[in-house]
Amino acid sequence: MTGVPAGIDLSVDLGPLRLRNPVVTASGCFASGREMARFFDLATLGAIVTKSVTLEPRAGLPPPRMAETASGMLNAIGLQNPGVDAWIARDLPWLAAQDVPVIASIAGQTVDEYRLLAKRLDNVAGISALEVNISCPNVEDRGVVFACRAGATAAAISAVTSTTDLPVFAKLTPDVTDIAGIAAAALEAGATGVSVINTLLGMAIDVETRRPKLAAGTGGLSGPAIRPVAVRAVHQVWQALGPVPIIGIGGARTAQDVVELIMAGAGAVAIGTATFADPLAIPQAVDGLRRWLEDHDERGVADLCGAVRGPVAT
Amino acid sequence: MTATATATVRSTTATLVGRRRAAAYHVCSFSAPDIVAAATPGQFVSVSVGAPGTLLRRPFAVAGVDVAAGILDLVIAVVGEGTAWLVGQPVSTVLAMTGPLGRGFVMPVTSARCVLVGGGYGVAALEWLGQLLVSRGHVVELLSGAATVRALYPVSRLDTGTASVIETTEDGSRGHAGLVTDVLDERLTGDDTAVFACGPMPMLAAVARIAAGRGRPCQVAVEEHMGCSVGVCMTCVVPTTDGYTRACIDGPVMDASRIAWDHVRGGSS
Ligand SMILES: Cc1cc2nc3c(=O)[nH]c(=O)nc-3n(C[C@H](O)[C@H](O)[C@H](O)COP(=O)(O)OP(=O)(O)OC[C@H]3O[C@@H](n4cnc5c(N)ncnc54)[C@H](O)[C@@H]3O)c2cc1C
Ligand SMILES: Cc1cc2nc3c(=O)[nH]c(=O)nc-3n(C[C@H](O)[C@H](O)[C@H](O)COP(=O)(O)O)c2cc1C
Repeated sequence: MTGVPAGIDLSVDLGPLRLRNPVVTASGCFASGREMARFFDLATLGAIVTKSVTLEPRAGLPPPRMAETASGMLNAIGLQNPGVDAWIARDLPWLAAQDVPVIASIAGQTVDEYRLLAKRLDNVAGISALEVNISCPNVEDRGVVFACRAGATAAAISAVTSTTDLPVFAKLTPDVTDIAGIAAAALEAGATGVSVINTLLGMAIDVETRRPKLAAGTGGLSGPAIRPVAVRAVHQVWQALGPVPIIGIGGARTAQDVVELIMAGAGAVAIGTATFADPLAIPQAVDGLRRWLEDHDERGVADLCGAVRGPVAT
Repeated sequence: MTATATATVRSTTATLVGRRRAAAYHVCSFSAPDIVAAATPGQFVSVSVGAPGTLLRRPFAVAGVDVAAGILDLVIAVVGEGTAWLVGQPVSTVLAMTGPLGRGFVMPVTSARCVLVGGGYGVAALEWLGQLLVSRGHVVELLSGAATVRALYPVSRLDTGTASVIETTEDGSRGHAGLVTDVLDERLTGDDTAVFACGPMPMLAAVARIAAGRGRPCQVAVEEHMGCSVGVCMTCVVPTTDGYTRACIDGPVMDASRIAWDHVRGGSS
């Protein structure tokens, strides 16, 4: 790649996937890709993780869907998407023609929906891996989020891994007491790795009107406010399960933030909300990462994975 | 004809070069030549704000441009932390700015009587639109409404033979007492009349209803809470006959007949 000083290697391996650099898009924060191609060359990215698609089209929730909170934001979009078939027909061909791996995100309400989605995307040209968004209510279990239960996690992930040979990443919610236990269940069910973390469930109230700021009442918290939670969650999974492929997600904006999540144990880092605050956040993080390595006499970003030291002894 | 989606959009910096008050509003002028060169009335920019704890950019309609000088004006109402911070910045402050964003108003192709209906700061962008319409030979009538005289945006650049301005205030402190929509219907009798509106959503809903009742074409600039302003976060959606559509990229100017007004907050009669 041009502009990389000799000897600096930004590439990383996420299981069988080789990425040219560790910075990828967070699901739901990059639309179809065309919108952002107006601002920068998508080949700058390590990979594109696409908006979660469902079996049938989803209209999404009514607005207001967004409320800004201290160094973060709440969103309740309701997975608005055209459905997997329309996505394959309309968005995937364009993405597949870009010089960047595509990781397709899927979301279901039942175990069988996950299986059908995996079947639909298996052997479709242009997809390098699947990210399985299991931070979704399981309608067969009173709406309890799949990723809140080890059993439901294993069931949804097995449904996918037994249907396709594509690498599979299970996207976990931080709203659990033992995220490493959920990650273990996903890996046992055949997942290649885990994506950590999805948004935290939150709520904001307009105290003048006494109403929730979001039409849906509650929503997912993202942005810099959640970064320490993401770093903690990634590190817990890394410590408990050893060097497994982890896509670290949550509040990353700068190259330093990317390095922090990598040191905690992430093999790649997804950037979401930061793109909303600055369309050029991702290319700037990639450039900054290159400079950070140079300044620290580091040769390869992969060497930093899990490189956090123990706390200073007192 | 559809307005071009912003192929020429830039994510750049802008320098604050001037500030003044206009009634209850703050007019902030920014030097941003790349954005100015491509902007049309109805389009907007997003601006970074530095208030503690704020994260997202704030969207504002482009209220006018000086193409030669590379300067654009934003007319800002202070409603919260971000807008308060913005209007408190000294001249020569440099901010991140992305624009021009979204679709602007589509100009009529044949000679038309253009009725422009604005509420609050929405009037500012319409004043610019009005100037362009006049320069292309159209007759322009601008209806400007607000709650009180202080919130009435002062129009000063539509002082020509083919343009007129009618003001309304809800409390009667200036012009016609009542809503701007009270005086709209009687102005839509001509076959060649086209309606352009910019203001709060309930006002747009009323304008759309009246225009539809008279069978007149109507374009509205919608507003909804925005996250990214560039089409990727799916938060600023507006209900249309075709489902939820992003205001930032498929709007903010939309054909009023596309919008499912009964599903807009404050939009049903
Ligand atoms: C396309 C578009 C064009 C706009 N043009 C202008 C303009 O020309 N001049 C102008 O003064 N304002 C304009 N706005 C509204 C402006 O963006 C908001 O007032 C501003 O973002 C509020 O920021 P804040 O930090 O001061 O307020 P916050 O602290 O975020 O919120 C204060 C209050 O404002 C409301 N609010 C926040 N964001 C928005 C929003 N995007 N739209 C409506 N209400 C909001 C909140 O619900 C809250 O009640 C426009 C909005 C859009 C979507
Ligand atoms: C507007 C918005 C939409 C999102 N949509 C999805 C989605 O469809 N699927 C998914 O797995 N995660 C989704 N997420 C979660 C992000 O992928 C990411 O996990 C989270 O936002 C934390 O990262 P960030 O702080 O960098 O944004 C969404 C987040 C936001 C803010």
